[in-house]
Amino acid sequence: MSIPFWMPLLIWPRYRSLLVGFQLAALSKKQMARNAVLCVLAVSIALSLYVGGFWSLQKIDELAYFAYIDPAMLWNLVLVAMFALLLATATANSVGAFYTAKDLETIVSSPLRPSSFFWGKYWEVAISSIWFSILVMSPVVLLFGHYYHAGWAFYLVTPTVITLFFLTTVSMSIVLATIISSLLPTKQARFFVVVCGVLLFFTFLSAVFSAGANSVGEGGLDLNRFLEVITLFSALDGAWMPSRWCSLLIGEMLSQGAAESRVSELAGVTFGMWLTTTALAYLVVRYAHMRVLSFVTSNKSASAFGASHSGLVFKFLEKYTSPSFRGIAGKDLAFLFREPSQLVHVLMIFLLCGGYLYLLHLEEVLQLMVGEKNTEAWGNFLVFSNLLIEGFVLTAIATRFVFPSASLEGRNFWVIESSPLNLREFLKTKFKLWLLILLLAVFLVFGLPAAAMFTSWKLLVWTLVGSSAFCIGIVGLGVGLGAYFHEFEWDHPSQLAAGFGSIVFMFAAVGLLFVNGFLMWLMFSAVSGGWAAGIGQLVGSSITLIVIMIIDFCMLKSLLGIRLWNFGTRFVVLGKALRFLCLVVASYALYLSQYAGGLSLLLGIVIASSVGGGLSLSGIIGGCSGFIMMCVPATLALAPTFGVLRCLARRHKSENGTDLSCRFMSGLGLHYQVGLTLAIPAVLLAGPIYPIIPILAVDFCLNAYIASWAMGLGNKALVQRQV
Amino acid sequence: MNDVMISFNGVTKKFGKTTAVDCVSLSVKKGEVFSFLGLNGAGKTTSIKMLVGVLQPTSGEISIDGFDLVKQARQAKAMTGYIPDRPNLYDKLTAREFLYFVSQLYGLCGSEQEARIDMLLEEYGLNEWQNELTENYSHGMKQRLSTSAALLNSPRLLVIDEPMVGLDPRGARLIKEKMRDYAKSGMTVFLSTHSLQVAEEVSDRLAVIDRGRIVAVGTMDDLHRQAGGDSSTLESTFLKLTKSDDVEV
Repeated sequence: MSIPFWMPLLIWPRYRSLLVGFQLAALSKKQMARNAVLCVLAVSIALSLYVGGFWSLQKIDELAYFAYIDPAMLWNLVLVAMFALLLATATANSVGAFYTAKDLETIVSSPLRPSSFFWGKYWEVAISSIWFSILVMSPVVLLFGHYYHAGWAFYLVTPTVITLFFLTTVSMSIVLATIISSLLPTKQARFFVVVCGVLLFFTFLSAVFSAGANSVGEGGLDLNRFLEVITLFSALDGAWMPSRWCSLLIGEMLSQGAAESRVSELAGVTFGMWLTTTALAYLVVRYAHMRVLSFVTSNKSASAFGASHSGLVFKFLEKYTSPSFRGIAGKDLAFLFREPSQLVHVLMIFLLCGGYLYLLHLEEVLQLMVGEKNTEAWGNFLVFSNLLIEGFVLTAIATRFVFPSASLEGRNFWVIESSPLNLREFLKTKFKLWLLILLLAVFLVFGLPAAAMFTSWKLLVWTLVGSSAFCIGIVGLGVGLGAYFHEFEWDHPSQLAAGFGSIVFMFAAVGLLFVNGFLMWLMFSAVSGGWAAGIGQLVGSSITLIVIMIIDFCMLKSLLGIRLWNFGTRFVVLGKALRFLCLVVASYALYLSQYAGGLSLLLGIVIASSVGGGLSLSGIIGGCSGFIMMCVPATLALAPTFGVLRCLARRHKSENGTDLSCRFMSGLGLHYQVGLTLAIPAVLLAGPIYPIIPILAVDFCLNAYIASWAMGLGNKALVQRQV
Repeated sequence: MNDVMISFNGVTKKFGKTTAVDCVSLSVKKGEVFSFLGLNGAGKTTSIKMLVGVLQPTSGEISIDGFDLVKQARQAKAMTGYIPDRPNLYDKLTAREFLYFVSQLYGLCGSEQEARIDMLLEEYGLNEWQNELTENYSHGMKQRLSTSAALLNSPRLLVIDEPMVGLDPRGARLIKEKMRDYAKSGMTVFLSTHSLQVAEEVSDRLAVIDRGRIVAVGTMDDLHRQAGGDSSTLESTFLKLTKSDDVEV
């Protein structure tokens, strides 16, 4: 066995591990099947990027009569975003590779040449930071080449330029990591990075908030204020940004009749940038590494940051939460801010939120371009697009943090398993914690800017209610599927978000987002009262009810619950048919009249459940609560009843163990309680906007069903693990 | 009054086609120090994992103080403390935070919780390191922290898997003394070990498990008798019972 001459020595062990991993995967049929699915998904994502990008470029071209956007500008936008994300990721990876890695003791104590050390670690950081970005950029390069009919030189030069740009970012990150580590002990450095991220984020927030609030006022658009926003963002386009030169070069190659001399000049600048930054990184590592490493090592025994203050946080939580919740919440939050890989992703989420706010700013630009200000339709469009972007950001947060939350327990899971906390409670605690965090994000990050930019507060309330419903669905789905695809034997937490289960979750989450988006679109149609309102409600109610029915059938065993009277199995088929019929009738009734719709839904559930499998307790509860939902103004006092139901369900569980009916009762109690609590004040404040109520009710039920189903699945998988 | 703390009743555990534990039945009295002896792969850790509720038996029942471990898991686990063989702790928590977390899982709160944590940190010599992340701890320190966590809820049953692994002589002596003290105070101690010396020093009764089956159970004298009465040391008795004189223990 020999090390290839071209491979840096320090990369070889990783290369071997990867190779052995592939060889083992090739022996397992299951792993091969998973890999095949992943390949198909990767290809479909690349295709979607290609097709979606092509369509976007066509749309941009259609606007050319108004304003020509040249390809260099588009590339600049893409590369600026990549630069920000890469710099954050690579800096954290550099801190890890150069100053805290477990193999450092062995390496530093060996007579390895400084240049070998630098290049080994350099490529380690580079490969782990940029491989994914290169994969994502491949279809984008092909897309631009095809769309602008570029020559072969484009396909040759652009990948090289992009790779050099990524490597330049890596070199800059190594310098940055050394500076941060030399100024502060590593643990505090991580904290420092987070604080910077938070500050940056709030700077963005305040700028957009104030500019948005003042630029579009009663007196029209205040151009001065508006220009402030544009200036803030155009700082990213400065000559000092590597992305600018790369995008100019790519743009030059795409434009017709490019001057060869200019291409060569720009290629020289790009290569020079990489060379200079890498030389700087080498010098910094060569002369400062040992000093910084000993500083970091001598500070390693210092107290963990926040350890002396964590007691205060626990004490605060003690007043308002159950012991298991504060135990798990405290632990999870500590992990989030102390584990470098998690921290990097926290930062990336901040950046994503920054990007989201940047999009708000673009919407302002669009508003300026079309010249329609403060019209209702425009307002609706803005709120709706805000909602969709918010959905994507929430999905990203859920994929990175909520989905791996169960698996993050890792080999320490024995602590939970051997404690009196039951696994369902454990999952529920995770659900509550992340629901709280996502709701906070919805209200602070998305609600506040939306409130600043849009005038209709009623619409804002409805969208916040809809977003809360989506949060329930996405968090339940994340925690549940995360537990179903649990993986406790990991070496590095970032492995969790890149597994097969994560891909499945991502697709499920995007599906859920589209269903929710569709329901929200219905709600907007109903609010605006346009022609789409009637048809939208008809189609929408039918589709959503079909979705509910499919879920119902999947959960039939659970829905039947405790049978008070058993009519025999032959009636089950009849019951299913009847249930189906009732739900179809209910969907049309829902379209014609809200009350009649609610009533037929109630009758459908009760009759079908009774005939189908005996009179089901959960069927009655479901039916009654459905009825109550339709008589909203009278139910304020009844909301606590559902709390009582949940208590009964819990008592039942503690006496008889968990069974399906108990879970269903508990789930129903929870989501109707939440639904009522949110819907009632809104209705009281906003007046009788009846079409919205059933849509939101369906939205809540759908999300709660999915959450409850996924959590049940996850719980079953965790229990199965012990059997 | 029932004086049985642990009861294994025909417990079998299978992993696919492999039977790790085969129809084990035994009972352990309250206040007893009970050792589980066996070769590597004999089924000790699997039995212990079933006893603490981390694994469920394929068939048979396990109860702790009369509470069934499957049907009344919460009550059974609430009176148990568990020290695993490999102390996997949350790396990103400090010792104090870890103890705080575990105490919350067991429903402890307020001043009682604080006092208990302080006492255990002091008792196991972790006071000085309490605000240090556990990722920087040595194996022995992790083992001591894991022991403190197991004692947080003042358990009536302490289950220990390989208690002496990675401990220095002083730490090993401390654990042995503690086990005797806990038993004197009424706590039941169930430990699995390969160390015959530890088993001999601290146990009231022992069981020998071989290939998933209990081959002998009783006091030291009972074991000698079951081995034929001609073995003078526990080592020779053990080797005779497991029919593995040729195996190095």
